[in-house]
Amino acid sequence: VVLTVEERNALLERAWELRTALDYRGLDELLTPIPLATLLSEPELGYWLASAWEHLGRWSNSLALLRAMAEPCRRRGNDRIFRDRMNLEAIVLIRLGALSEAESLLLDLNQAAREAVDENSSMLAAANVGIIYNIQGRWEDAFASYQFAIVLCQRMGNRRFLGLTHHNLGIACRQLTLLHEAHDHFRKARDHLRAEGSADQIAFSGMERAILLNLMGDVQLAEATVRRALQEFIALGHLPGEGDCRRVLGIISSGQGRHEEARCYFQEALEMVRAAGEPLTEAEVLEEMAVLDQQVGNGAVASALAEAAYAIYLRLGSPPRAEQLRVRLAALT
Amino acid sequence: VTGASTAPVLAVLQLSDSFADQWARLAATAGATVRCGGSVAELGRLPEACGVLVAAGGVEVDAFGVLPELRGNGGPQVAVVGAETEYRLPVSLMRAGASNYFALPGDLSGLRSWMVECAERVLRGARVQALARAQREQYDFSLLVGESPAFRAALDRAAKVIPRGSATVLITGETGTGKELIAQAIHYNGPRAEGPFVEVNCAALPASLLEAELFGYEKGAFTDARTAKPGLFEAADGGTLFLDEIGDLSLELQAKMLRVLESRRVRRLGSVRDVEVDVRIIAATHVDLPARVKRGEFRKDLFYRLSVVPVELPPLRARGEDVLMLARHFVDRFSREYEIQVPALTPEIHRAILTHAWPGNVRELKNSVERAVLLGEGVLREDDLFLEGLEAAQALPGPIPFPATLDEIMAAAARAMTERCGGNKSQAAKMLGIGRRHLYTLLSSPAGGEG
Repeated sequence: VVLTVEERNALLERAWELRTALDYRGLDELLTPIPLATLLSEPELGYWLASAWEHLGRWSNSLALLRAMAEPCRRRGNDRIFRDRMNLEAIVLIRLGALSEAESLLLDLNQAAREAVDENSSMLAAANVGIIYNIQGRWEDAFASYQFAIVLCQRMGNRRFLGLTHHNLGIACRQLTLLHEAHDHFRKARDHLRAEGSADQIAFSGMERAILLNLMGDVQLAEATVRRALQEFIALGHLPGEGDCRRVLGIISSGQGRHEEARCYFQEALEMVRAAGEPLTEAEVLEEMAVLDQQVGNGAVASALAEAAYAIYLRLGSPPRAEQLRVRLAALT
Repeated sequence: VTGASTAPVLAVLQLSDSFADQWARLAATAGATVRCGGSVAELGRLPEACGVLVAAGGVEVDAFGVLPELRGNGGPQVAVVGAETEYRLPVSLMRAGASNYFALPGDLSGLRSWMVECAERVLRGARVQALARAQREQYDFSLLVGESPAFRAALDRAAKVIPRGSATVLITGETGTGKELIAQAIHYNGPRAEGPFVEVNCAALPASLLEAELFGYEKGAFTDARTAKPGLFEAADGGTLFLDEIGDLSLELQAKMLRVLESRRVRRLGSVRDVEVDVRIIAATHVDLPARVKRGEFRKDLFYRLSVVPVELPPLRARGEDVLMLARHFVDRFSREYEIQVPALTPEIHRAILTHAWPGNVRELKNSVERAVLLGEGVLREDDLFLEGLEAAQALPGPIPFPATLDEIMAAAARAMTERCGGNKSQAAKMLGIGRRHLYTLLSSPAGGEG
């Protein structure tokens, strides 16, 4: 089916409107009936459909379309879409747990972006590769990636990304026990996200900071901070955020010896993140539950919970996180 | 220029009417508006456009006639749109100055991508300016709180260096005194404000990783170097590189750092070629660098290179009533941020703030105030200011002897307050609620130690 210029323009226009409105279902309905050959001849349409599928959780479909687009995209010399496509493919691979493949693709993207002086793609590559390192527990590598991404965010004048990257850098610093640095990064994240971020991103930033405050020994402030974040997530109807906040409340309660309260929080968190389809957070909740049971001497229960967490970490392509849990439990034995 | 003033404008030179009704709609999907004209003169001021599109469907050869004029003084990119698909035409057009050629209807997607790139260049410039403006407002020198002579002296010195965009600055001071804040104020109020502010904590990473991050590397320079990567020196080009905790740099890296400062060139690991960098260096440390130089732990030549403009930030305990000004500032800020009613700073809170040692300096005060504001929900309580069990441990060190005579106690109080006020005796007298003469008397008494 060959579309006329007018038909293609009308389609592009409608797809653009839906994309601007973040209406991924609408994009799916509009573009799924379009023949593959047309999508491949109009790489932007193909890219938007793959992006909609990524948001709708149809990762395998998205991956197949993105891979089918690679060669036509290259042949047509549309380098910008080619690089956007690489970044999206890496995101889908991360979702599917193929972290090494995603890392490799992002490093290639970084190289291609540098050669084309495309700092936007460089920024995305650096930020996303940092996320892979976060999942894998490679905190120093994550630190370095985010540090570089921050420079690119500044060069792009992208405050939202700047806020998100400071947030992720805060997490990496926290894991590297650079606590003051982590605190400063969470503050900067909040400043930038308050200017240009969304309400759930601001709430997430508060929640991660609460974990840091707890680590720094300020239990009271940690609890007040995470409760504020929880209220924000409840108001937004944001189930994964709500579940994550309950995990943090569980960590705080557990640290204070309030084991039954912690167990309740973890159980609620587990149900919520499972319902929301957040496997990494699910593994993190299971990890905290295992640690709690190990602390109170329920070795068998702890092992079972840890096994469930290991399985998810491995499925997500993160053996180092599984290993870190093993070490954590061994230290408690 | 037509369209909304904030949207980038694409100039369309219509040599033919093919697809004429499509340009505005297509440009809109790229976030741009269009301005059409039948001749170059009709297009108006070209430098204001994000790109120029020559619509030459059916009359492609005519594009050669307008390209010299369109590209005459540089200006925005020019793309030609036609119907001809024969490969020699685009090659010739690009030789004549066109950046791209799109043959419609087949290459609509490519044309849109080009429009997006043109629009993005303009939008990006506007975003960078907006970010720099917002940061300048946040780090404006006039907003830095403090009136104590030592702090004002540091600020004055820092302010003098702002217009000298390449001058290296060394900021010293205890942890938490605000070294990064001063560095950012220098950057965002100066000529490099639209460039990046790149912060590197030299103590955060192992030496080998830090070296790779700072200087970058070529593909294959070491086992994990799968692709080449520029370092943070290169990334900071046009901006400022803030090297925090410079005192923790290894001797090997100190030598490399010295080379960059002397030559303003960096060499990636595994490379044989230097890259020129235009970066202002601001270094900071809480350690006594001259002492490190004496011990041979820090290179003397690097120390002198770094301390072209030294700025020494005083600890909070030597800033007198600045601590109260800062507390008030943070109370206002966090109340606003958390949307909590601004609580009053009661005399009890004043006393608690004044008698605490603040070993963590401004950072500790800021955290404490945030804590008290958030936990107090509209009421500032002394208990909320400090973590449990911290007050006793971190209260001012005990300069007041006990048991002692009343004279000894009064003299010790005079000494302690004078020290807290950074040697400013008028202020110390005011804080103690006595006259200056009385303070001098106490200080010069045998117990006062200034006889």
